Amino acid sequence: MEKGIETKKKTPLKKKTKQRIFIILMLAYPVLQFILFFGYVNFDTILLTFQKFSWSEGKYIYSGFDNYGMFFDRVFNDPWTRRTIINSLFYMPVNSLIILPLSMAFSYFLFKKVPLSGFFRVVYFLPSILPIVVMTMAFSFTFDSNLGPVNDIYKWFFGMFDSNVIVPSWFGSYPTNQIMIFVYGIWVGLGFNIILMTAAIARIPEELMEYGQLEGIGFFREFRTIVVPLIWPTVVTTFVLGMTSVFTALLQPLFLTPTSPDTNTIALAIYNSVLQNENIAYMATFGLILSLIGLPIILLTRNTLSKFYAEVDY
Amino acid sequence: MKKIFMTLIAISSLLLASCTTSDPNSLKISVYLGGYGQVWINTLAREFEAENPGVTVTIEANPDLASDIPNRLQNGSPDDIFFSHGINWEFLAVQGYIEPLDDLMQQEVENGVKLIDKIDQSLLQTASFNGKYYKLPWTNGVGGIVYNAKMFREHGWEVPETYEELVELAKTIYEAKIKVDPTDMKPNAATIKPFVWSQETYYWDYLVFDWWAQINGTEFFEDYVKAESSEIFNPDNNEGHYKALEAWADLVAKNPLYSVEDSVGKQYMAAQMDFLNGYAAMIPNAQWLESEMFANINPDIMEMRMMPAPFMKDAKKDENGNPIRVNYTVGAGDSIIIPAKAPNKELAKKFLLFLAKDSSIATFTEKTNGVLLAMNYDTVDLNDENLSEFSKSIIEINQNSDKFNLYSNSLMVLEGKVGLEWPPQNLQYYATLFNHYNNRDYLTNPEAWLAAGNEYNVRGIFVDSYEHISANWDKWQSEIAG
Repeated sequence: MEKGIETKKKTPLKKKTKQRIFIILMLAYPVLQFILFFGYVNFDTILLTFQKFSWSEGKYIYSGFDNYGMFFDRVFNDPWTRRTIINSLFYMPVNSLIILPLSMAFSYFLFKKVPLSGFFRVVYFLPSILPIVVMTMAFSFTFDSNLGPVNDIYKWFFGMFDSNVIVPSWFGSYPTNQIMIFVYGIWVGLGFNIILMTAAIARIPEELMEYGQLEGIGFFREFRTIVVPLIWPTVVTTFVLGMTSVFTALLQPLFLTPTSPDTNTIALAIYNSVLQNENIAYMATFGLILSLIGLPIILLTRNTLSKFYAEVDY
Repeated sequence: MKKIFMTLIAISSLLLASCTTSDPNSLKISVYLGGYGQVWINTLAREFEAENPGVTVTIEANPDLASDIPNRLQNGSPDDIFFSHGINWEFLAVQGYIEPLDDLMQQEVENGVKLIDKIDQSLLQTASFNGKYYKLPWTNGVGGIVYNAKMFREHGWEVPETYEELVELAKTIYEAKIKVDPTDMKPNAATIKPFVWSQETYYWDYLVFDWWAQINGTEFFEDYVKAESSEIFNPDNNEGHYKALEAWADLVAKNPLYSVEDSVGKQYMAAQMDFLNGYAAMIPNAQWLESEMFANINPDIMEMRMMPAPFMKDAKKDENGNPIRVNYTVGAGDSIIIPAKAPNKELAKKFLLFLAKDSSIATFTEKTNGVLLAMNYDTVDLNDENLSEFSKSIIEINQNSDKFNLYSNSLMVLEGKVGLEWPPQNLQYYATLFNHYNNRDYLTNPEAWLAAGNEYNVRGIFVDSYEHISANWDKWQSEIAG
């Protein structure tokens, strides 16, 4: 009887075992997620690139490198495929070479507490917290001939020089519509980057700034020699994120120029293909090849930029 | 702890069970929620319940339904019927995700009439693939030029019957320079323009395709939609297509000032608001315009009507020597389908037979404010009192025209190799032509600009397109896995 009671007695788990179970459980979720949503999805996508849909069999069948051949054929012979790729490539300089430097400069001004900096903080940040549907509608209505003020201002200003002034079609002709999408991207993109940059600048030790001031360095030199080197890791990350927009730019053209193939992007082409269940295998190949080309470029850029300034812990 | 755990398992099992077993008297209908609203399906559901005691119909009206349907079909869901646009049903049907409806088509709806005979015969070919029927066509839409009848009446403008009259009308409206707001004393006050339109330039298709069919005759499209050879794109065999676009270019593109400023770049909602606010007398649009903008219509300035497509000079004549009246069916691809994994397929089929009854067809049209089901209306008794004047104008066009559509189940089309609506796909025809002429030099001296050889060769677009398609036809065919 006593023996029976002893066997039923719970053996308390050792602290180390408990810790192990805890760690395994905590790791299980991200690992499973990685296996499922990265490993499986990408493996399946790669398989798909070697397949075609058979209408007679009602399933995907092996097609060798046909999709790859079709990709290169279209790159060389189809102007719309080329335009899709070129449009997408332009998102990189817009994000990394225009929005990023601007947001660095604005963040610094906000940090230096220039007059109305609180107001500007809201102005910059507001577009990034409102839904993109609302923002794109507000943006396009601003340039509408009857709903917005821009056309009237344009006519008033240029009318002083030319009585036959014609307002450009902001969203109805290429490349103006593509430029307008970039302008929208700059307007909305600044807010998000400014949050990142302002947070990075705020972490810079105050003593360093004071030291610089005691040395008599000015506004711009402080920015160049203290701020930029110390926030460089954030700059590199933001730069690389800007580069990836080549593959992710989707919603801006979708909402601002919903029916125009002129402003198509890689992500939008894939999105439309999936939405309509059309040429999915080809579009998987399209995305895969461009990713394979883009990935080493992005990694190389990141490594090169990281060498500009030595990383400092503070 | 153990008790709580077991309780949770029990609850989960019950929930799971409730998801997988179905009540034979329960029907779930999922409907795309767009311009037609959902009053019609709620009404029909209640009428079906009344006719079938014990049956319960639940409705899901969802504006995002279309993108969700493939997943639901593939993975199974409680849906018994889908009503939606944008279902790539051929792709899903050959994979076995959609219930074939061949047996249902042969069943009687009422008074000895079979379902297959009740469906609008011009749309029957849009419902079959590989020799089987997989869907019922949903609506039988009308598009074209919507005009403000009140404005027309007040200014003495007549609805044009011919293309030439339309050209003259547009000129008259533009030259009248009537202020949108008579109290606006600014020198550049906005004046009423003949047209307003938007970036969604394909709304012009509804007019231009009618002109195309007037010239070629609707029988032309029987072979055209088969897309069996590149020859169908030869402008010599298909002159209606480029002539219709030329007519549009002569009317709209070559007269940029006939359109509200920057129409080509407007959001469609902004264009529709401009029309409602009296900035233009006409707008290319379709049957859903009134329902879509209902809350914004001010009856003091807007009485909406659809005009039949004005006749082209080259239009074919009927046996009486009159030009043929045609109607391009807008939304011919909209579908009603039963999922192969639907929990209650028999009840779903029963509902579709109920939907094809004359009383249900009338309910649909009355509750959608004039939208027509893709059914035969010969024996349907519509209650005019429930219809707006706009709806009546649409029904009048639909019922008195020879209908056609551009639906094709050719693999060349389904795989996106060629497009039947506009063969050089992706080219923005209307925008390209409009932007070509909307420039300072043309507007200041059109004759000199055209004399300098700047006229856009519309036929040339089709010639280039035909040559491109001919050169690639065999390659594209080989790319399709059959």
